[in-house]
Amino acid sequence: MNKFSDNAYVTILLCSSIDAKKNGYKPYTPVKWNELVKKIMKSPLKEPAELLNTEKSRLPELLRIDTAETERITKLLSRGANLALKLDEFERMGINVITKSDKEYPLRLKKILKRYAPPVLYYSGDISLAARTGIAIVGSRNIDKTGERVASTLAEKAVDEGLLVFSGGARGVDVISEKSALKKGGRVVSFLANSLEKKIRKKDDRNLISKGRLLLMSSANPDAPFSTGAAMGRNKYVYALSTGTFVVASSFKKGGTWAGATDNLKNQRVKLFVYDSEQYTGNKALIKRGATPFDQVDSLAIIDLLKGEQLQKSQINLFETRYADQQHQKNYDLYYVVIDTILDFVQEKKSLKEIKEALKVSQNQASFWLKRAIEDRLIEKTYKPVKYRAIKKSTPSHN
Amino acid sequence: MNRALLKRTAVKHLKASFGSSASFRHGQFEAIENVLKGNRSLVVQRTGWGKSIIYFICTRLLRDDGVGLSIVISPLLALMNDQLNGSKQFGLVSRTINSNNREEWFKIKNEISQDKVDILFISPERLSNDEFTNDILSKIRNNIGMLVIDEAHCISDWGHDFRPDYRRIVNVISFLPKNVPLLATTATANDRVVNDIKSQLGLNLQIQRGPLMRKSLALQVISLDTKEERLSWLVENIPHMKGTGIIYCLTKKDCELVSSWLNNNDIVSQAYYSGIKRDRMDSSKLRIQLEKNFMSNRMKALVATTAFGMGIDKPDIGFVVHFQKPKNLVSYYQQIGRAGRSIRNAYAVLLSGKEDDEINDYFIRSAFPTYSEMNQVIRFLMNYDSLSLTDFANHIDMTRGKIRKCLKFLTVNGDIFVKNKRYYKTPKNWQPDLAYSQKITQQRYEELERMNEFTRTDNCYMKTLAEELNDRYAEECGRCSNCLKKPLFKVQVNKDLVLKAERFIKDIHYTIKPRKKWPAKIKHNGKNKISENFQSQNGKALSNYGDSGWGKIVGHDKYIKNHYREALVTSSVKLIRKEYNLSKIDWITAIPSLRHRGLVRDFALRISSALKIPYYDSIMKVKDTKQQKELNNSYMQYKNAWLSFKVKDFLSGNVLLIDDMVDSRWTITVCSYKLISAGTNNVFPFALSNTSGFGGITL
Repeated sequence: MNKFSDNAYVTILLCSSIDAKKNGYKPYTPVKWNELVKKIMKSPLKEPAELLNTEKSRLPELLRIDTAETERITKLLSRGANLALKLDEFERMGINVITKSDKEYPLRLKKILKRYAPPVLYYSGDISLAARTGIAIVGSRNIDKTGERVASTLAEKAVDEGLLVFSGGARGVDVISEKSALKKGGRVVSFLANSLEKKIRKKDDRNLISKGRLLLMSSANPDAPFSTGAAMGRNKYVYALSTGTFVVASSFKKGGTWAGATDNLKNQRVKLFVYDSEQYTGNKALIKRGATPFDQVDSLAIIDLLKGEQLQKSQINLFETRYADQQHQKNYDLYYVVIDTILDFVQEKKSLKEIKEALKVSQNQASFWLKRAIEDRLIEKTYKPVKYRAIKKSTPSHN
Repeated sequence: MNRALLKRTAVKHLKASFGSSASFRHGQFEAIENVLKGNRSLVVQRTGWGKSIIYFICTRLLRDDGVGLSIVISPLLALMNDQLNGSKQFGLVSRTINSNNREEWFKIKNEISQDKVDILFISPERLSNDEFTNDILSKIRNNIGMLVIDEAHCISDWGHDFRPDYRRIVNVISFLPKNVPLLATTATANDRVVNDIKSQLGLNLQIQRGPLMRKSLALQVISLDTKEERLSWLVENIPHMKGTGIIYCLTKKDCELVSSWLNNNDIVSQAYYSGIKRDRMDSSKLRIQLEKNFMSNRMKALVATTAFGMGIDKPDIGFVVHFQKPKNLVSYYQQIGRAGRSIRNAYAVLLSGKEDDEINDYFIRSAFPTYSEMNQVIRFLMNYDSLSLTDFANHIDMTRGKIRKCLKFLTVNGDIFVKNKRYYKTPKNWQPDLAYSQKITQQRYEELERMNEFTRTDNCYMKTLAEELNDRYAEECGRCSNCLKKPLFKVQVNKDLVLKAERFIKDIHYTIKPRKKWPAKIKHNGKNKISENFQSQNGKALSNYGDSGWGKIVGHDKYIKNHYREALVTSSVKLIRKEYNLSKIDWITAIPSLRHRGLVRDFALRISSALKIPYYDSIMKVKDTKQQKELNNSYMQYKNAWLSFKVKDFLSGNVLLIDDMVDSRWTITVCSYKLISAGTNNVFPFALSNTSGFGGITL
């Protein structure tokens, strides 16, 4: 009795990296797979399953693909026996496989990520947990005491409100949130970047999985080692599974948390809430780019927060400034409009001449604005030679 | 490839290997075609029909097409060896990976990674070994082209030879996409089994069936209650059977008994069973040697357990005698089917005895772990990330064998998995599938009952067997004792010969060898090894069988009479005089028991009086611990013995240490160690009965 439908088989054969590398034929990425499926649907084959019944010599004409791609598909499809042995081995450890064509595949991933949804997922535990309502809690691997407290309080609150906690299983904020939620008696879905099969060998995790409290997932091969690419890639899956994502701590313009958050904002996927604090260099910037700030963690009402917020439609809103109280007054002071642009430019120190040329204003004008920024302690002046530079907040580096 | 071209190519290969006049048997080409088309196929044909030719040719064709190697899963070593040679005729390179050829693995791995191997034969246990999958399978450069499952009836619960490792194969196949060719073969399967295989492997299974009756066989069933009678029957009748043959026994001990009895009566025979050892020769090499001897007629009879036979294709086997009833009719059919392949007359005689049911029952009962056993194992494992087998053995009172069986059952069920010889609990909730083991156990009792009915039937034996296998061509054979209405061989046995056999059994004494080490991780005097001067000397036990000869009497006297009869004293004294150097024995002592007060002491006193060597009490039982025989596990038995016995101080000289039953030898080891520590020189153990191994059935 077969475990998978033919469509699912083809998905796994063409998209899973299990036993694929050694022939040098790479499996399909989510986006490329999507393209192939479209081609198949338009062709006489209609469904991916038909690839199993079609002679390879007919593929170029049927699908309008070249010989190289035909070779690739054929080679990937012919490793059924090797794959079966591996899948059986995984199953015996408690790791299962699910594809986009299976009905238990988490719907939100498909809905939110569309063609970026991973075609093949590996998991251990009750897959239906991934369909529950919950929040994601993410953040840096290196986190201070404050951040730890924010993460754990948030997780506990989520549990209190009957929400599931999603996270990425990484050291730091992820693990703290997950542990706190589980300790409080809640349920957690941990989407790992790698090494799924190592994680289930730990007795604490496996006991929680068998109790139905923990679900481990990964889009990477269960015995794949760590890769930064995979770690970055899975951030969007964590976001997509949640009804709202909470960033506790992020660096500015670097690291996985930043990348995941900005990617989410750019593509307007899921409601994003960021801890409003200057302690973490990226947090304020994310808020400026459209994330909703939160800070009173102890008195947070998460569900209300999720319901109340509209997703920001615009990207960097030129009329939003760091001077929040000014927002509600009619203010025509152009300084507030240009200050971020200036700060952006002087991340590296620049001379007055460079600044005026970049801003395309008179030297006097530039000088006037710089003076105000210095007063506001946003810019510092260096001497010999005279240059201006945005003041960097010193925080521990993350990611 | 179209059909005509396929046929031409296949025939070409056949002729190239077997000569220009070779042609396919009906069904062979159809099977080849089906498999290559992607229709999962089951072929049910008797041994010798040519099932392997199907996958040899399929592989040949696939390889010519640039596809990767075929994997053949087969449970039997002998079979693999035969096939390895058979494939050469098709220009195919075959290799096997099994537990007996480890030294070749490295070379074979290289050959596989260079895509030089066409067929890889492996056992089902190997498939579930993670060392194998990760190490060797990953070397397969090209993708696996085809899967062949030999002895496919092992998949079926209803099959007479159900093996848990085959359940894993079924699971692997459930992950197999339909574009991988799959072939299953077997020589024995009735309708129920076929339907079961069909549903487990996938519905679009094409089935070939062929006639299963053996025209050259003549059957008879003879009922002889005791071992002595059956031993006697063998000596009277085997010499009248033409050619060489096989005698099947249910236990290894019986194989040794029967073959030494036959040799003692000038009938050349050798014993064969798994794990057989002679003079330090490696077991698998010895088995291959025995197989060769058998094939070249160097003996009259090979006395074997069911470990012998499948895949052995000797055309002129003249007789197959069963010393005890086998567990079911299909096994019986398979075993007698080895006789009379290319000769016109061959005999199959089934001797059925009183002990047979007891023995079969023991095997049935001990096949599956009990709920309590599995529960112990799981509860213990829950507290750890992973454990080794020794970890289990040191904390749970079960024999290592029993623990292993538990672990295997739990692994097949998905409750445990193994990695690098360590056992992990899976994230699954443990719910023992008792219904399953109960169902199978029930089935086995039913099959045993049908075997019993067979022995009592007046109908044609051959026809009954064929019908059991749903052979559509079943008919009266006209040659068996029921068809002819007269015996083929004498039913009565010579009374003198029976007495001689009885004495023979009684004269087989067991040598009690000293233990040389404490259990794993245990140390005394800083060492795990027991130094030679603290070991016991070699000793003897009067009886080697708990169930025959003296053994039965000992059991009776202990548990019913609580007094050992004089005959036991006389025979023991005789044996001691013969086997021990009495001039070296200074005093005699007994192992005490709180439960059977004075039993052994009284016995030892009488021995002392007869030998005129003084008796002294020297060992005390300090607490009423469990009886050793209730404990299963070596470590537990050692511990129990260590805590139970205390020895008096200031001893000296050489002592004859007497106990009634010896099993694990821990009592003797511990008492000897303590006696020597207290000043004794040498300790010579003696026991009435060896109850270790099967043979340890008490009343």
